[in-house]
Amino acid sequence: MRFNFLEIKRKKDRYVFLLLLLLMLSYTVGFFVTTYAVLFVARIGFMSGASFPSVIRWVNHQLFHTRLGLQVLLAAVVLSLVSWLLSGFSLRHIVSMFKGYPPEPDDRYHKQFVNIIDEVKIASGIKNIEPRILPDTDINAFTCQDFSGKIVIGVTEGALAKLTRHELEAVVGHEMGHVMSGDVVTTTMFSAIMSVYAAMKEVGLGMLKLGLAGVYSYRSARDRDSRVNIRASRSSGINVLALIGLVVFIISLLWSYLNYMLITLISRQREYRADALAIKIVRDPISLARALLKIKNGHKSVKLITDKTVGALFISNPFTPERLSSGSSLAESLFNTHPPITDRISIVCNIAGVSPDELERQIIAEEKAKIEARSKTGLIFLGDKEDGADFQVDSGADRWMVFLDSAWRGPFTVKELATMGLPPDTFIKREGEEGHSMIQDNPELMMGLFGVSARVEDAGAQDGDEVSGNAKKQVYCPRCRDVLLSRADYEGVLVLACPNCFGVLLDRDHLKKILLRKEVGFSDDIRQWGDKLFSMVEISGKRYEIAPIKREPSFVCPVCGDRKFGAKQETISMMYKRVFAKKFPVQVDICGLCGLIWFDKGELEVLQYMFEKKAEEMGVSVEEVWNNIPEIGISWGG
Amino acid sequence: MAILMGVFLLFLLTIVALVVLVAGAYNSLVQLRNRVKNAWAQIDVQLKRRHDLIPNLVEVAKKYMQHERETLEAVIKARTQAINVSADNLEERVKAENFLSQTLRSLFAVAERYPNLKADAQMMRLHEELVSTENKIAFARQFYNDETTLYNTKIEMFPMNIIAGMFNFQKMPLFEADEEERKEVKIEF
Repeated sequence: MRFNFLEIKRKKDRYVFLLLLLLMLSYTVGFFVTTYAVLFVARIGFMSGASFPSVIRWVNHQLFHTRLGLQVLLAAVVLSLVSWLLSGFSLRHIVSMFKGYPPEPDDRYHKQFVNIIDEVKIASGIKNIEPRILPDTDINAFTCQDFSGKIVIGVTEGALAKLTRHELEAVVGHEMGHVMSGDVVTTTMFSAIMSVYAAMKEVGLGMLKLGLAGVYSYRSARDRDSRVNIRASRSSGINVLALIGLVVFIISLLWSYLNYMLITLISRQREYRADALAIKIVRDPISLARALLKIKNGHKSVKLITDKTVGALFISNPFTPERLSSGSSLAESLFNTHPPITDRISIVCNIAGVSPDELERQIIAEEKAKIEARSKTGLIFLGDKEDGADFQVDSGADRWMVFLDSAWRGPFTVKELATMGLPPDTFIKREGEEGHSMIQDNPELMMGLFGVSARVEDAGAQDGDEVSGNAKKQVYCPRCRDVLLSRADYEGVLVLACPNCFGVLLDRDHLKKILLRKEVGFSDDIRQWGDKLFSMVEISGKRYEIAPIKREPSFVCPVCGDRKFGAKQETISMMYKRVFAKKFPVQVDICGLCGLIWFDKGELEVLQYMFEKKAEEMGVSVEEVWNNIPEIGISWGG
Repeated sequence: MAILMGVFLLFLLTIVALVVLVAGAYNSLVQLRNRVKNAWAQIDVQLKRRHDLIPNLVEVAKKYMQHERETLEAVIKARTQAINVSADNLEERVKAENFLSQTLRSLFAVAERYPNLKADAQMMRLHEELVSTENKIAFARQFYNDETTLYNTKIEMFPMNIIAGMFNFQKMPLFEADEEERKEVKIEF
């Protein structure tokens, strides 16, 4: 089988036409069956005592010898065309249903994903792909495509955190395989159709409830007075409504199940084919096998999205319980959109020429080694010249050598020095010159490095405030007061950090990402600190009191705290000392208004350490621990 | 007379059919050849991007790797060489680019020994960009080879070979792994 762009296009057109016909057929048959049943029930309901053959004859006459049949057909065709046109919008709908968002250019992991998409674009020769990121924490990926040809490929934050570059590439290759074989359109289309039946099911259920409620109220009315005759006709009318509702409900239910089984039948074959195509595109079967193994080990069913039909769009169905993802009995796999993942793994492993068990052992050993070899430094200051892919190195400015750790380092520009958190008595010298002095003796450097500088540079050379997403605004460290927070990289996430006291400003979404990713290791101090906090939780569990936390605010929120009203500056919101969560009593400062969290030096690491340790103790993943936190920022004991 | 007329008509129809067939075949060949050219241009774009990234890489690496001047200089030299080779001299260009790939690989191997360099934010991002660019070059070559194979097979097969011969469609060269790269292929298990 050869797949190139022209063939895909041609095949897609054929697919699309076939789908339209299928859709019309599905609607027409569905409508006729429903109408037939409704007429039948209505006739029986109104004409008590009529014989079945006579009712059937009547219904047949009504449906096929009057205009009713034609009208039903027309309605089916019109509705199928409408839903056809609407399904063009289904892409946006689906992506919004998953709460997908575009990748952030400053996030290292997101950038890698964007790069991988670009690579796969080149490998496949297909250009119009949009990358998306889903906030979910387990490993998954999806793709969908509308009729205009726009393609969306999305991966979860969990996949970004847990898969290596090669594995992620293989997963994207798998999604690309779906695109190249042209079956994304079908799947996207089907999920659009299914939503119509879901709506019909709702209508039927509503009618049923209304009818039943009517019956009930009629009965209670009859108990009160005995004017039965007057209400007799209404009674049967209500009964009929309930019956029609029941019929519509049952038929749409059956019909949607039938459609669903159709999807599962087609899509199971496709997964094998997409796996094969992924190998063809990326030429790396081992990484694909490893990614599938990681998916298998981390699999759990998600209940976030209610529409089950979209499960077919993912690399591994997020709605399938664990039992099904590995089981292979016929009854179990009848309603599964994906083949058992173990089958897929063994096929891919076969191509790669490795045994799955050996590969699994290797992955476990590798992850262990990786965790042990983690670096101890998390915060990396970016300076302000950093901007995505454009690496412009400025050469015009003065450069300085710094005496650090008993050696001359450098040369650095003033802005680089500003991010290093040097005390004023550090020795420095100009690049290429001999005589050295201290920073505090040099007014130019004092301007550039400390508080004074910040206001001098007010023109906005430094753009901060990425965290809250507001307009560019300079953010000062709440602890050091007149030191500007600078952009820093923490486990690939862009944060605002103080170069002087190493405090970090974060919002919850980014904190979650940091907790998911396991790049930074922990020093012994951090470990001890964390263990002490854990023991505090234990003691307090036995009803000991923990020293109360001060109620008065710690400081003004650096981002949303001050607002200018004309010439007057007013304080709007303050940050309060809070315990992060009951089981994680790290004391952080949280803004009462915008919810940003300020971590003093080390607090973020301690929180990470405690999360990882808790997860290890409970034998679950970090995200599960995160999901079980009832509330962030409680004022505990205060 | 009627028979003659019939024969004439048949002859005319055959001619028309032949012309339509040849035109169709010619067009499909042109389409394929343009796609091969496009695939080649893709490689060029990525090579250019790599040339642009290297000065930044060296600049960052210099800060930490004062003792590895040779490695850094080798990279710079290889880059200059690759840029200066004229675009028409295909063989020389491939050679120069391959050499550049090699020096880059050894630079990254040496960089492994400098944890400070590895933890540099700019280096991290540059490394990712370069890895991505290397991948893109590899994928672009792969795509070029796929497209070229399709094209080459088509112009060699009957009856396309006749039309290709008539309009002078030449076979296109394939990228092949050079000796150095072949040596470095190793299985991970």
